[in-house]
Amino acid sequence: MNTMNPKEIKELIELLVEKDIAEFELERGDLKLRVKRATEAQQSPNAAPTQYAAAPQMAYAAAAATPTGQHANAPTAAPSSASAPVSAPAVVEEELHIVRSPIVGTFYEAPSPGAPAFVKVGDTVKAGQPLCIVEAMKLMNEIEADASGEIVKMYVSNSQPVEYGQALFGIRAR
Amino acid sequence: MFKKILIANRGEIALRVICACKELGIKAVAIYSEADRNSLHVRFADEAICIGPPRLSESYLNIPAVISAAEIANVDAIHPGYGLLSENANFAEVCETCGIKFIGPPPEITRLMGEKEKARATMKKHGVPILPGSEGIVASAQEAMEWAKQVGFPVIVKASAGGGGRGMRVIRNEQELPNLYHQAHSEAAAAFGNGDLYMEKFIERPRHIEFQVLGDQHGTVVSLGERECSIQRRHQKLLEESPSPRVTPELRASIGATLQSTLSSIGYVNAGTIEFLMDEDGVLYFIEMNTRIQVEHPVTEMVTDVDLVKSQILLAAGEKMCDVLRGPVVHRGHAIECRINAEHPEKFTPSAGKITVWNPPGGTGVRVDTASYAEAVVPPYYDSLIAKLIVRGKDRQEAIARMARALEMFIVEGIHTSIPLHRRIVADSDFQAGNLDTKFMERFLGPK
Repeated sequence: MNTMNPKEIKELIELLVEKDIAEFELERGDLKLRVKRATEAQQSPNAAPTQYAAAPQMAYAAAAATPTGQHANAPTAAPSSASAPVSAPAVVEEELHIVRSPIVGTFYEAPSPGAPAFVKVGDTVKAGQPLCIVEAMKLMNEIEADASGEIVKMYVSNSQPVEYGQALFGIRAR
Repeated sequence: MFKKILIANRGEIALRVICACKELGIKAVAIYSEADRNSLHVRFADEAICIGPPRLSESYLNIPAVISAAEIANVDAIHPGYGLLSENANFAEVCETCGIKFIGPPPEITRLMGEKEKARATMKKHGVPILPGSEGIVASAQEAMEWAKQVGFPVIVKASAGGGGRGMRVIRNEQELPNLYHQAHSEAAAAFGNGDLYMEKFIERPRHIEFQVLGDQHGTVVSLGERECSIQRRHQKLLEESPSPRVTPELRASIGATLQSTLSSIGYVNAGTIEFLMDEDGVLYFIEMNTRIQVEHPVTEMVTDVDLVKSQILLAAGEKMCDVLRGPVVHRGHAIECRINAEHPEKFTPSAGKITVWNPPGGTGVRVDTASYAEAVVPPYYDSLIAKLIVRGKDRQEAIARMARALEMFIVEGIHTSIPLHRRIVADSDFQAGNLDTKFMERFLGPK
């Protein structure tokens, strides 16, 4: 049996959260397993954007498939984010300045394919400095830093679709 | 058939389209503004994408944001709902250019029907009755008299250069014409710098009758009968019903046939509604056409058993009309819809806020289309429609009794709604007798 049912997936996610696993791979035929525990610098990239709490089946943030059973909640209770398997991020404690996407589109870390990325984690940036591109309808929009400081987090990966208001970078402001 | 559709709308109509998608096995993608984060259309869609802040211009009306969302979600088609971008020909063109099917008529048709004079001329050419009037400016009281005799009193003269009631006079007979003509002329000149007037037949107590049509991409257009929407306040419909108490089967058949051949000739595709005014003698005159699904579409669905939104999707995917309708359109029973708005039932002031109690009615022949729920917050940024209550009965009498019962059992607390107003309308003797015209609400609300 090479597929998992929703119950199995749910149990697996719970186990990963409980054991503080940051990365996890699994192949079934001839089993191949790779597990990596969370360290300080590897808190969930998806935990900061709270908008996913309201869109449990948002395909773009999900690290794991969302079990169908999970979203049958009464509409009154905002379901907790099904797409962020790891608990409380370091982001909240540090009070980083979050750079959010002002438009919906596709995130690119470099000005063109193959070119070096605009910035990487650890770089110091000035307000107004271009950090990335979000492409919308074939137009490349440069997104500028709206604060100066050190990039400590990058919440999205290259060519990932992003929505309005989605967290892109975390800056420790100076 | 489409695999994924993006719904470029919000509220109850977005949820309505999601329902049709689910039943057809098509994935639905919702877009939302930050104010709609906890909306039902977001929760029930398969995917949801936030596209902007609350303001319409920055979210639902923001074409690049909508198209960008459609691209990243990789949808096959966009359903525009009603209002918003649904009759925006530019938007339909952008969809086409981006290889996304727009669920509606082709942009040229939307443009044609959006230009009122062109639409009238097109309809007239094909034999659809239009409101008689002067062709162009009426340059003198003499000309006005000639036109008025041709068109038949009463007539109305209107300023060509503007509106808002200025430079408008209703003329009921030959004796008063010269004086009123000159008054209107002076007023128009003072208000707009241009005293030019045109003339139209004036209907004292018109009834608003509209016909629903569907068209496939193979030249077939079908009329699904009429709805009467005479109960309006400030041109906003409050209550709609089908059939109209004043449309005979012969009239329905004859207008239906004329519309089918006219719209087929001009290449109309997908859903549309043709609006008419009916005069006191029961004669219909074309006013305008809406090239989209309408708010009150459930009324037609209830008496014909045709799912209009599913039909739109199937027709846009290229299905033939015979496969979509699967038989002739049969009208059975009588349906009435009340538009429940979040507003004070007497002052009509909008009532945004949190709904603390939400108990919609149920039972035989009752349908509620809504995106509201208990604990939902009605945002202040959008229109005030929070639910549509539709009932069906075997005849008008049963439908009225059912609507009265359903309104009584519709409990909403935390915000004001128009439910008390609807209850009064349904209990009104003129309403019950079918004595309707577009001045009904004026008389009903009356001087206080």
